[in-house]
Amino acid sequence: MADPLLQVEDVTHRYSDAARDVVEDVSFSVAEGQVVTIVGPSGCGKSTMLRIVAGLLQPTSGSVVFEGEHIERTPDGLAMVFQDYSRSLFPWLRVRQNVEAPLWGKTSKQERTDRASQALADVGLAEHADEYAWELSGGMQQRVAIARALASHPQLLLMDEPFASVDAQTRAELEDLVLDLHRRIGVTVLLVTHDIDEAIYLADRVIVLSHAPGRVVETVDVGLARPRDQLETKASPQFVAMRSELLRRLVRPSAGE
Amino acid sequence: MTTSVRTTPIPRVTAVTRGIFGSAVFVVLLEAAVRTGLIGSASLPLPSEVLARTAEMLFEPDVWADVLATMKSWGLGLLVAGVIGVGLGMALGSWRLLARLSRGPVELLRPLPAVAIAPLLLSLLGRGVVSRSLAVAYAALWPILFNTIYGMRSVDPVAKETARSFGLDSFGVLTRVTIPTMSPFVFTGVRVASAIALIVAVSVEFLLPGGEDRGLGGIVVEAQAAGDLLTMYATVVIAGLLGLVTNAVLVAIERRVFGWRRGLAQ
Amino acid sequence: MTAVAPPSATPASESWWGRAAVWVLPILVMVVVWHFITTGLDSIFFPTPAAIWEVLRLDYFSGPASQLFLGDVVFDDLLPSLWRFALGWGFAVVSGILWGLLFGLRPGWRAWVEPLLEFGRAIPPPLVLGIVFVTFGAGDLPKAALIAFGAVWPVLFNTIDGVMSVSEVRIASGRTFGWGRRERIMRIIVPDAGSSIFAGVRVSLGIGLILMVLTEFVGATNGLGYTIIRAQRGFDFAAMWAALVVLAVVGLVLNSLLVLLEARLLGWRATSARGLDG
Repeated sequence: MADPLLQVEDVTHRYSDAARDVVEDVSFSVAEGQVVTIVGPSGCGKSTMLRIVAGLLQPTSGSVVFEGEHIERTPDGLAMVFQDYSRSLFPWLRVRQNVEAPLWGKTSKQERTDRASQALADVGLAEHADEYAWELSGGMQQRVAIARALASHPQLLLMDEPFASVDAQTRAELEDLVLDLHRRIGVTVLLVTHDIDEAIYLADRVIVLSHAPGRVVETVDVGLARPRDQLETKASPQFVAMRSELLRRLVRPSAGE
Repeated sequence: MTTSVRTTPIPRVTAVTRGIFGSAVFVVLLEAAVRTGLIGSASLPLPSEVLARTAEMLFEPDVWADVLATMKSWGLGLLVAGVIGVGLGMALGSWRLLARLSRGPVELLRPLPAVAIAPLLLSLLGRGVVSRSLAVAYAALWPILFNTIYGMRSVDPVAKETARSFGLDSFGVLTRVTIPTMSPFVFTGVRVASAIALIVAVSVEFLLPGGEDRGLGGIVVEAQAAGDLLTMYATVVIAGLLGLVTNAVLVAIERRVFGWRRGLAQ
Repeated sequence: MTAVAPPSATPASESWWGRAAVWVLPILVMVVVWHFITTGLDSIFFPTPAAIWEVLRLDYFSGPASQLFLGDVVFDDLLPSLWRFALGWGFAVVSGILWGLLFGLRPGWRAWVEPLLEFGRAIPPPLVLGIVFVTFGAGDLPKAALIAFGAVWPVLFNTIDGVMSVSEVRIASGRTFGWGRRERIMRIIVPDAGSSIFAGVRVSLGIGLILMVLTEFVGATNGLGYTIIRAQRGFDFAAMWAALVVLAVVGLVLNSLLVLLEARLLGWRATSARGLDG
């Protein structure tokens, strides 16, 4: 069996002026082509965890290995989508330029344009390429952010509560977009969310973190068939059962804590 | 790994301590430089002597009379600019056509440095506080005017409708909605204007041939004629301190009166 | 204290004629009204537009072909003024932005000098004029230095503010692209702080012009300010008003250039320099 794409081992992190760890002894792996979601209550350090995986933070202890190498800074095969799209996109650039930004200085102009067009087509924003990002709705802006991440052809796509700032309907659309991208392009996804339904709906595997200090409480293999559907999948008995189980885990953490 | 491009802000206590320490080191180094002759004392008097002279001047009633003179033309000019600026601003903020028509004249008048009209005013109206205040007002008008217009345009039409639905008449809407919305903007305009106003107030004093109402600028003019570097530096220190105090007061007032503005999404 | 730049939308699509008329007509009306007031008043302090124009024509526009038909005053006074201004203000803008970047990115360093900076900003620049003249004489460089001293503060503090308010997420995005420090500064922080910086630059322009004129009131032998004082002494108010007109035009041109530059660099903002309409 091939090595996992991402291997997180015993990662513990404490911020410099904090009283206790924000995450503790977190270990998990992500295999190529999988969608893995991390779910947990607020403050459980899941965003911190994602930043450590992205190479934006160095953990106090533990290791993160991506494609066989330890992470010191954001490696080339990794791209990230942030929750706050309005603050992560560049308002002084048009949509197309935003999507091309990660490729500046890395590819030829032609390649850059091609990749950006492809990415925009993949997220369904081809007609808006020449507008400014802030002229678009919230959901569309997050699509721009996703397109921007895709343009760099990442091995692993990290998403930090990407749909927390949009309304429910848009959230459903974007969730399906992620599933669609996963199906068509085969990109590996590690997504952090506080929404249990979303975590199950998207994932092959769900990692549950406890409240602070965040520890892995449980790892659940989601056996649901693909392709998934907002109505049918979420109404299926397996889904409901899994949701209850996870809810129970989150609301009443296991004994022996 | 931390190739962080922007470091995080430091805690207040550390910042204040560093600030005090840094300033003290600066003064000490300067003192040492002058004492050892590194900087000739013809260019820079000893900082210790400057501070002594400053303390001395702070006890001279003449100096305070001069400070008052500058404050008078500054304050009066700001007042005139405020009245005209707010009045005009409210008009221009409400009626687009008027605003469009005034664009030409305003864009032509605004860039004229206020100091330039001082000689004319002085010839016309003499050296009193009137001519000086008018020069100050000319400079202070524009920030107040534009900020008022901006404030007027920021009044939420929904808020006005809500007020009307409560049965308020035009005057009521004005006093209950428009003016409270506008006030923080006007205040910001006044704050910006006050700095420029001070520059102009002092500048005008350079054109006056001394006298009782010579103001801070006048002190410098006379000291310059006498080659009295010490007094010039001391005046600079006094003015700087005054400026800091004034600004602190304005900021405190703003925080107190317009604290509610913080809660509004900007 | 940072300068607030109230935004205004660029005028909705309008005919070129319409825009020009709205601008020019009121000014023409102003001139006509001025004419009637001054002929009625008949005071030496308020010359008629015709008299002002006569001075402008003679002093500024009737030179030999070798001087591009420009009058002596242009070369003797206008250009030296502009040169000193450019020197002083240019230096102030560049230093203000560079130091502003440094202190905005390193609040820890800024803490050491913060009281000195706040004090420097609080000093009314005219008071420093006396010191500068006594210590360094009344040449071009000291004048430019004073202009620089007054003009630097708005740029400096606005740049610091702008840099400090760049969102952390945006900078983090740059890191995920693998951008190094230099790239993050040039590609994220500077553009993001751009509008704040420009607001500071606009305020500094006004202050710079005031100081330019002031340095030519006292101890000068040339310059627009000097022209005004000389006219005042000679009771030649037409010449004084002519100089005022020239000054206003200079200010207008410089301001407009700045607005154009801002529109070009920060055109992504539909809101731009403060204006009356929009």
